[in-house]
Amino acid sequence: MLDVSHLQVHYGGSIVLHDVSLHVPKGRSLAVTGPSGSGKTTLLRAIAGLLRISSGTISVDGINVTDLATHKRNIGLMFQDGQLFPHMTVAQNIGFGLHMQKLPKKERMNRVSEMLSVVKMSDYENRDVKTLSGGQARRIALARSLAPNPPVLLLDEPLTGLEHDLRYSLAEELAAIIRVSDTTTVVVTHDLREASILADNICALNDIDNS
Amino acid sequence: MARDMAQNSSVIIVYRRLFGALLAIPAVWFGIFFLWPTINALATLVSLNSLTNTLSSVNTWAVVWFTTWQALISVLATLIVSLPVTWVLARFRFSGAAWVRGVISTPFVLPTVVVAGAVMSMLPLEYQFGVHGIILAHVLFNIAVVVRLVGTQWAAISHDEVRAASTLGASPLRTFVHITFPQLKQSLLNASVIIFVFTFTSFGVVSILGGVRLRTVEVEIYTYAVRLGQFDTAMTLALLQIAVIAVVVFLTSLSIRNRTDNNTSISAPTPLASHPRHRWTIAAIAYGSAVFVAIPFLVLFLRSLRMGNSWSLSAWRNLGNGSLERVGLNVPEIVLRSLWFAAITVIVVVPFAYVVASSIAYMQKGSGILQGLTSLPIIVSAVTLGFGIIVTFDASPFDWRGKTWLLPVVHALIALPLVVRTISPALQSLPHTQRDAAQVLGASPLRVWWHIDAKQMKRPASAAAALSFAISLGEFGATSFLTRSSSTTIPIAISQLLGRPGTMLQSSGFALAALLAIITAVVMSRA
Repeated sequence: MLDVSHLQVHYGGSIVLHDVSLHVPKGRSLAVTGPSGSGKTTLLRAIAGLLRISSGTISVDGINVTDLATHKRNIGLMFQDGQLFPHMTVAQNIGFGLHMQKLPKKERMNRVSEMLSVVKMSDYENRDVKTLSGGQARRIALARSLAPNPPVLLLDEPLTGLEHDLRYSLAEELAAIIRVSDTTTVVVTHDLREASILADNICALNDIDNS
Repeated sequence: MARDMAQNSSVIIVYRRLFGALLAIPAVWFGIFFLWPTINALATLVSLNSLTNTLSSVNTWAVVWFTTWQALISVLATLIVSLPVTWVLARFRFSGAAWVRGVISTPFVLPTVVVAGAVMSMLPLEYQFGVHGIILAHVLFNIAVVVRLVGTQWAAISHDEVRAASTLGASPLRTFVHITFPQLKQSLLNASVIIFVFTFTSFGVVSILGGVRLRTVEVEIYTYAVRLGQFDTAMTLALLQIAVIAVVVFLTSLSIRNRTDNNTSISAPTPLASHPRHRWTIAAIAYGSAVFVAIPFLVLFLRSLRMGNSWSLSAWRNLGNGSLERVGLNVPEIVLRSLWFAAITVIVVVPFAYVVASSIAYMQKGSGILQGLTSLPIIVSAVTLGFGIIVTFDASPFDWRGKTWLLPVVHALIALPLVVRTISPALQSLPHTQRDAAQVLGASPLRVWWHIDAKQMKRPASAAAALSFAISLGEFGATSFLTRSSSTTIPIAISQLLGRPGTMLQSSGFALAALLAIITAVVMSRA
């Protein structure tokens, strides 16, 4: 369960997010849409703790995480273009979060194999991530985000840049994986069709007039 | 906004604090061994009297005039020789292009005494000293600057722009004048300024190829300081040189600030096969340029195998059998010492440069000042730095002039600007979202640094290590001031061998220069 209450974010003198509140029940998914510059990505970064908020609170499963450092929140975030670590193999990418959790190597490898089979890429364990196609890289990025079993998963424009057909078929696949994982999810997208495939509910952020 | 986001990210805030604190260590080192000696020497030795005497001397202006015109001719000659091959490498694809690029880039990383020795080895005895040799050595050394700077810009010009001009009726010449040249102007200016600075402050090349007659300001500083003991005149000349370089660099930076160029894409080179009419011309330019650059070094190697009129390995044997000890040179010991100095230089400069480059990347204010400070060792030449050190650290408890450890410390200072510039672009090109991704996966800021930054910076750091190793191995200017018989380095030994009469000594000098070229090439190939 994710609760965001009266969230406000400033950059310099301008307000980027103003009094944003949202509630996503456990295991449910919410899509946030809105025009460019409306603060969709900022909202996800604020929830993940990647930037300082001016006011408001963020709770995960009833625990207030507002003042927790990013690495202690255990919130998964899949970035716009995946952002796989180019100096690591597919398995090392997926296992990174588990390594940070100091999980024993054997358990880590088992979980990596499990995640690879979930995203239907079992043979790719030792592949160099630079050799993956766009769609494969997104699958691995999702597997990496889900591997540490985060209670909340944030997806920032997860399918941007992919071809039209691949985009929607992959959206169906990702939606199925997320549903099975029973993870509370917030997905940011400007594409309503993608939003309707990936999420149970849809809301919109409006642009703020700073003038 | 994306930049604001990155700058406000918690991991960057930790990095900023960490590297801001660590910056104190290189700052103290830079302050003690660079700023203090330079400012102290300028403040104590330059007076109104020394300025008046030096500036009113006919000799001063003769030296400044020679320094300036040889530098200008060197710039012009380098551009003439290098532009054709720059064009070929930037615009055409052909077999051996990588080899051609490698050959013509090599002299830039070789020590100046090796380049000077190679030119000297080609010239008949009666023509070994003169301005022609100096210009040729400067051209060989600086071709890589043009190929690198202008070539990158040339490769970025779209083939379609050139084709569009042709379809509108422009001849190849008019296309060059109206389309290509305006887009190359800035890089040509940048390359010219860099070559001017290198050749205006030329020391190793002029010391070896200038004989006793030709002297640049840099050589004159050495002569006044070491041979004549006139420290005030030497430092006044150093101030004059710093002023000229600072004005040139400042004017160029103004010109760069007034222009913006967002074109960073590279046009794919055209296959040579699609230019049947010009393929022989293009091939002749490419391979001819490589041969032009390679010949002096081949001759250097061959001359090291000649003793009088016959072929012999005795020059190489002399390096190892102790026969050069009669002229005070124990070559195996000198080689080991130079390698040891170079290793210490790497250990000092690479971590310091990493801290400086990180501070430049993450600090919100003052990164420009920090960049400017790290450029100072280029503006204040190596000779001036060496001179500043011997006049500053001359009394207890800082009587460090004869200390062997001072050499690698100073080599590290001289390497600092280039090493920072090797690490900085790689560090700044690391996508910040990778650090964010690592954080959300549970990595603390220090673990983010280790798993994301440090692991991806291994390659640029090893390139920086190779570069600083090569700079230390070849450093000649500051070392000339600081070296003692117990701390002679390879370039000093080469200069001593080539400066003495006698076929045996000169051949041994060529052999030692060839050995230094081989060591440097091997080191740089690891970069």
